[in-house]
Amino acid sequence: MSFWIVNTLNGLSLAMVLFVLSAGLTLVFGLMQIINMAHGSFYLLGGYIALSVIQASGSFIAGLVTACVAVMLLGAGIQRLMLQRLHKQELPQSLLTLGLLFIIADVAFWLWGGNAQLVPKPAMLEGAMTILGVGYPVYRVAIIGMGLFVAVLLWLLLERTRVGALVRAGMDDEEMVRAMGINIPLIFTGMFAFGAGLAALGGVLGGPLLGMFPGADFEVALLAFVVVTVGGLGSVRGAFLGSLLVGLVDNFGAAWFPQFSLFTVIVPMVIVLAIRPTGLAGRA
Amino acid sequence: MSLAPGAPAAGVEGCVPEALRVDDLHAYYGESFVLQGVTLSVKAGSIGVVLGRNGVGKTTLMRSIMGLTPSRRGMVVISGRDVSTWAAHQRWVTGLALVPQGRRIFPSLTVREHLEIGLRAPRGQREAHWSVEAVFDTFPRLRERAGNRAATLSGGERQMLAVGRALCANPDLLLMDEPTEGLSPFIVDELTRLIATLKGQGVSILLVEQNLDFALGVADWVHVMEKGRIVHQCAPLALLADEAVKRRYLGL
Repeated sequence: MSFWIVNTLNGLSLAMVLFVLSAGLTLVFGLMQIINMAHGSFYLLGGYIALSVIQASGSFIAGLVTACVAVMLLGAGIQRLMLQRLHKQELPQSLLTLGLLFIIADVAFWLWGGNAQLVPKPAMLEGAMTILGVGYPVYRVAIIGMGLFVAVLLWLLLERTRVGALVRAGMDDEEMVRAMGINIPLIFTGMFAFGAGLAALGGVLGGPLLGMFPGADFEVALLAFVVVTVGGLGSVRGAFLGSLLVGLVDNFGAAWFPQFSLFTVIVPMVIVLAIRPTGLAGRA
Repeated sequence: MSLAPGAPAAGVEGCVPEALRVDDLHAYYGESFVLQGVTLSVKAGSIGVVLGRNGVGKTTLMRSIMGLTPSRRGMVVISGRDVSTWAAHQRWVTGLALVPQGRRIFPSLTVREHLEIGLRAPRGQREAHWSVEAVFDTFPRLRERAGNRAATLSGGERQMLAVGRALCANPDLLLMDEPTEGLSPFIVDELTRLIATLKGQGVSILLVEQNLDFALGVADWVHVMEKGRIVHQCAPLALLADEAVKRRYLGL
């Protein structure tokens, strides 16, 4: 019984980190058709910046805020100065972000070195608690709560605010939004920055669990791409469902067939796509 | 009624000012040369209609005026301001609104959201005739579906929504690209009445149409388009009587 409880909770906490990460990826794709290869780099930078700030200041919150803000600014700059010029050119955009992936990976290696480092947990979330008679780390439970909180917040933002309506309208028909007096390039920049910030938040939340190391960017990006493909490109609800699936399958897969770790994640993706080519909640 | 191409701009010597003047406009769509020097104008508070067969460039003309298709040469002047180099969202500020061909509603937005994101205060001293509620009063069917996603609307409802969305902008100059396409005669009649109402509110309209009866019923002035140019201009009644023009340019 404790095997099921622990692995389910582990799966859920990984799923929530993946959700925070993938939500940004899927929103950016849905609005701008950018396949952002550097999304994992934002995750990595988020984790590393938080690590340095927490080590210097001792405050997890300071690390979280600094990391998210810094990566958002970086994202805004990348979109404004580079991606904006390649609007609607999917291949050049993908290649550009692939280049950024390598550059950011090298810069991170140069600044933070090659050893795996755990982002320190906030002191108040240290230790374990008992869930259904099983001892379980408080921090992982907090991540599950945090992921659900982000999911609700995103839903409210998209479905209940004017900006959210504009973003959805932009996903449906960008040109018509421009004809309604909306400065859509500004929304694009804002959304790319927001997506980068979500990736950084994923890095900060996941840092104490998964650690930061050269290659972590690529590892999580791969999972995030599986999540948004399974969930359906452009859909936050899809990213949520996809994250749950990938998080749980990855954990149980690693427990049962440790030698086939990535295989157990890819197989469900293939099955979902065979049945629903647009993903679980994809836009047609 | 003198409305010569390239007539003097806004209000010179007591003329009725022009809401829109298009001067020698050239535009391409991909490789093909779609607008080959379009010149026309719409007097403030009047309704201009562009007629012509399919593929003569009518929709490209509307897109170029809105700023969605870049023009290679020529000028677009709205209320006396040269907006030729402006982006679509900047042109919108001059009081422009578009009812595009094919409705182009946003499937994932509710009916009410369409109207809310379209809202704009009227410019200058103009009265605010349009609000979400005013659109619902004009199209009661939309009120019934206010909370529904537009993806679930019927064709006629979508057209009402496309018109209502543009009305919420309290436009000074309304561009309508084939608003009667696929509508039942009953809704076409409603649209005719609506256009008369808008005219009464001082809104200038440029209308592209295939439905000749509807178009001539609302028009103050008719522009006939052929191969990317305006080839004939006249009053609606004159066109009705001119079998040669109708046969040659409209295929009637």
